[in-house]
Amino acid sequence: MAGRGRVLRAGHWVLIGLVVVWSLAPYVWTLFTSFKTERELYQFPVTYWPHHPTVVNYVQVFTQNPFGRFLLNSAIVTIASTVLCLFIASLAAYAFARLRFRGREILLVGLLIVAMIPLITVIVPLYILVRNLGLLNSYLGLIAPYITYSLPVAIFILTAFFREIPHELEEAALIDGCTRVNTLWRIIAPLAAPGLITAGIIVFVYTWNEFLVALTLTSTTDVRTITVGIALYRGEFTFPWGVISAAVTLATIPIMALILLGQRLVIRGLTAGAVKG
Amino acid sequence: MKARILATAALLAMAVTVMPAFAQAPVTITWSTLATGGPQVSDVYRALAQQYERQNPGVRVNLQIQPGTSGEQYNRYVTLFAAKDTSVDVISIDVIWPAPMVAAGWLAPLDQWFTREKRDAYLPGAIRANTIGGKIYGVPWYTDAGMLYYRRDLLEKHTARVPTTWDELIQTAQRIVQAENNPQLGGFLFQGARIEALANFFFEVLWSNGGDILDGGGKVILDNGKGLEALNFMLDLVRRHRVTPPGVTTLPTDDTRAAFQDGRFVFLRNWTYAMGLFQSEGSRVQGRVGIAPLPRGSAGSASTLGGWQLAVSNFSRNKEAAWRFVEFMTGPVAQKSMATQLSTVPTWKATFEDPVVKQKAPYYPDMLKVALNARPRPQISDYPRLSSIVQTNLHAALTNQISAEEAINRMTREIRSLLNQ
Amino acid sequence: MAAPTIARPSAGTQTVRRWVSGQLTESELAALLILPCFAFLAIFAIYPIVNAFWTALHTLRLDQPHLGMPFVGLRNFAKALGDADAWHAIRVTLSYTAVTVAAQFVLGLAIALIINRMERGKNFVRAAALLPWTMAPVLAGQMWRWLFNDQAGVVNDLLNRLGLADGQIIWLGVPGLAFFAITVAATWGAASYMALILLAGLTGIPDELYEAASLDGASPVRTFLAVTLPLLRNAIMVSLVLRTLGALQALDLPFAMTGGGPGNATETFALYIYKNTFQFLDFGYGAALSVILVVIALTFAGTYYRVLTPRD
Repeated sequence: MAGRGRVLRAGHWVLIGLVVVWSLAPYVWTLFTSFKTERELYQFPVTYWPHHPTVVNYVQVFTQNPFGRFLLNSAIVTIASTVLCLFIASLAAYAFARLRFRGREILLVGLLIVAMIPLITVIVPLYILVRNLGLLNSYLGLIAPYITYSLPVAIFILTAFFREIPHELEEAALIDGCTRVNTLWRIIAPLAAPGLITAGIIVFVYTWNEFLVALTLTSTTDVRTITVGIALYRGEFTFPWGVISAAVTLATIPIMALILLGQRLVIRGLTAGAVKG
Repeated sequence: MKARILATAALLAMAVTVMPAFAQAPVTITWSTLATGGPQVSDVYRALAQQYERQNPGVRVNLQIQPGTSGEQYNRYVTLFAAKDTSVDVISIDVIWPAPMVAAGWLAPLDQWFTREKRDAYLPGAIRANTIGGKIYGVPWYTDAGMLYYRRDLLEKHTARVPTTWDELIQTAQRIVQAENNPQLGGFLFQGARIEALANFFFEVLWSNGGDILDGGGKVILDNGKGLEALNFMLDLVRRHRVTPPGVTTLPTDDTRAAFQDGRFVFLRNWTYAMGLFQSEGSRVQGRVGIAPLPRGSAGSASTLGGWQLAVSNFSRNKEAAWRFVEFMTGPVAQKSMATQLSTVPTWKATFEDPVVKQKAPYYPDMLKVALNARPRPQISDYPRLSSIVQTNLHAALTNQISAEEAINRMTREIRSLLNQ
Repeated sequence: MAAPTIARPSAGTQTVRRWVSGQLTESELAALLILPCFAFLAIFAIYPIVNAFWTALHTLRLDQPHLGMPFVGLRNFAKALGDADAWHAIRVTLSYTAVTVAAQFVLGLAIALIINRMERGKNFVRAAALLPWTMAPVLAGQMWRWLFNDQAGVVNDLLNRLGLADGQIIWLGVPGLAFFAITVAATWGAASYMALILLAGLTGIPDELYEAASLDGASPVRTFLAVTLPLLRNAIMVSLVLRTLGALQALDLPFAMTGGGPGNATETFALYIYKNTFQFLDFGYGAALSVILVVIALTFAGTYYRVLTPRD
């Protein structure tokens, strides 16, 4: 019987290994590519480990563009958008999940429409709007649209998770004299931690990777985000694989760190406020 | 009473001190451009802009370098001009954009400043590409054309001449590939991915056979037999003569450049930018590449005109000041600077004769020969759609989804419908 | 002497008082909670979207401004009905959506189940599994295009080395293979998105239920079907809806990988909308196509909702 357990566990580790390999292999390949010379990149047959490793690509990443600035811009815009979006979405999701009110269905359909509209269709009126508000080339000019277009996704996820939470907990608190809003913070939020992390990561990554809006609403390097910035390394015809691989590798590190850190922070922050018993 | 006199005096004094500032309020020209090729390119542009500022006190040039491909640059302009944006004065435009952009009313006509005399200093083909409906809307900045690159060392080794006809090209390629006995070496490569360059190569073959998409009057003549002949030629390169690998359909422009640079082909059809890279440090083919016009068909040799121009936005509030900057940026000083520091081919005819330029790029005269003969693509406002029709059907034929006849039929039908014929 | 009047507080003040003391009605509370969300949407979404829908009812061809912007009712929609390329693009998108969402769901669920069982290293593996999704589709498309390159691509190289293939498969040059290649690329990217949501759902399932099931002697498969799946229903629906919406809008990835080729075998509907709007400058028609896309998406969402909503 113990043997069977061990086999199962070994099998589990094999599966975990497969997941990690499947997820990371292309990134590892990108990492290797970033150390190759231009010549070796196009060599056939394919080489994996670079034969003549060089850091020239990484040097170019920084000399060609203010890479650090791009990362900073992305970080500011993305974190602000995510935090604010989650906050606003939590409030709305609670209403959708718990309260009955007129127009609930219509609003949900409206959210779906916002989620579905292709950005290319609204980019011109959006540009005009942001320009008229004087928000072009500014952090706010990016944050506000990002919050807006992430809200549907965040609300859907959070609504689903809020619904999972049993009513009894809330009712107990309400009987104890808590207001609705209080129960939201003290009871529901901690239990919705997995949902909040999920929604937070999704909004974060969506905002980080967003290209069209960032490209259109900013034209100066001081607000340019990393995704648009990486496109700067391309030329009209040329696609410098080595430099772009280096840029992608460098851009991935902060994201990985933020996700790891974010997970831990959110869990800790929320469970700290949980009502005991 | 006294107070009022004092106040008036104060106001007058202020007005007198402030007015000169108004008279000399700096004009800011915003220039939006791609910087194709990295920081050295944008550095050169920036240096030239600063030189202009020094020569023209009171003018500031705001340089906006845009990321990405020409397609993304076009999207950006579409967004800006659909919003009637006044923030951009000077723009860099691709050679195929004047027609749709003029139709949309986005470019300012430059005839009042860009006189016939001035135009003579530029390459005629490029001037034609900027002339829509008899008016001129852009100034040629640097030019481009499709040309034949060949491995001089391989041709010499096998005592082959530079091919001047398509048949010669095929035969030479086959002979060399066979003699070299290198499984990695291919004969001839062109851009086979579903991109603009695929359509351009088709045009080149078509034109060299005496065919065309439209005749002089704008009627569709693709189905007069020449179109099918050209497409069959392209298909034969892969299927019958086997000088081009079937994987060509997945190769966009830079991949073909990289493959040739890696030494894997004898011949390549590509734009002028490739030469600079072939000659760069670490290139496997450094010093071994020659340039020639594309081979002749029954009607001669043909090349697709490319290149970029500078234009003035029709929404700009400083059109004349913008024009003056354009004149500088496309003038002899800037052209020489760009020719010597970058790998772009000038459009100012005299630049080709400059000794410094000749020394830096001895292959420029060859390129000039090709560029002088390059033909612009159909200058209709619906060109993007026409190109898409051509690309899609060519690609479908090359990937064996439809026959060559079907492809030409569809192209003809759809282009006729597009042009209401 | 005038009697002193007692001022009655206005309705607004009454509401505020009730809010302060936590006695709002459900509707009022709901309105308050949704207000910030609604404000953002009203400004940055409603105006652009209404504008887009309005444009769909007009002719707006930026390359032919002399046409003006006349109201043409449903003419753009009628044109779409007769547009063979549009229908082709819809077919491509529907098959793309069906295949990729199914693949991503299966793989995402597998990943979620695997990670859920972990104790040590869970955070790291979860972050690693998420990493594919953090690569922007624009870049991922280029990377996969390179990986599937027939001459210098890793996929062909590995297949040849493993003896599973002989010679160079031209992945992106054959319609079926190109479709497969895009599916692989899309699944690599988005399976982790699914996994993330499903994992969150799995975390919410109490351990006691699993213990009870194993005490009852249920096999892992039965436990999965009887315990896990039903309780995951909410998460499954959310992940399916979101991923379907994402797949229906697929633009960046196919564009970067194949540009819609070979021919137009991988030209998704979103790509077709992009072409018509930004390349052909036919904003009216592009807007109409977008409306059609929204309708298709709403149909999907409605179907999911009806099939998967637990009876409250």
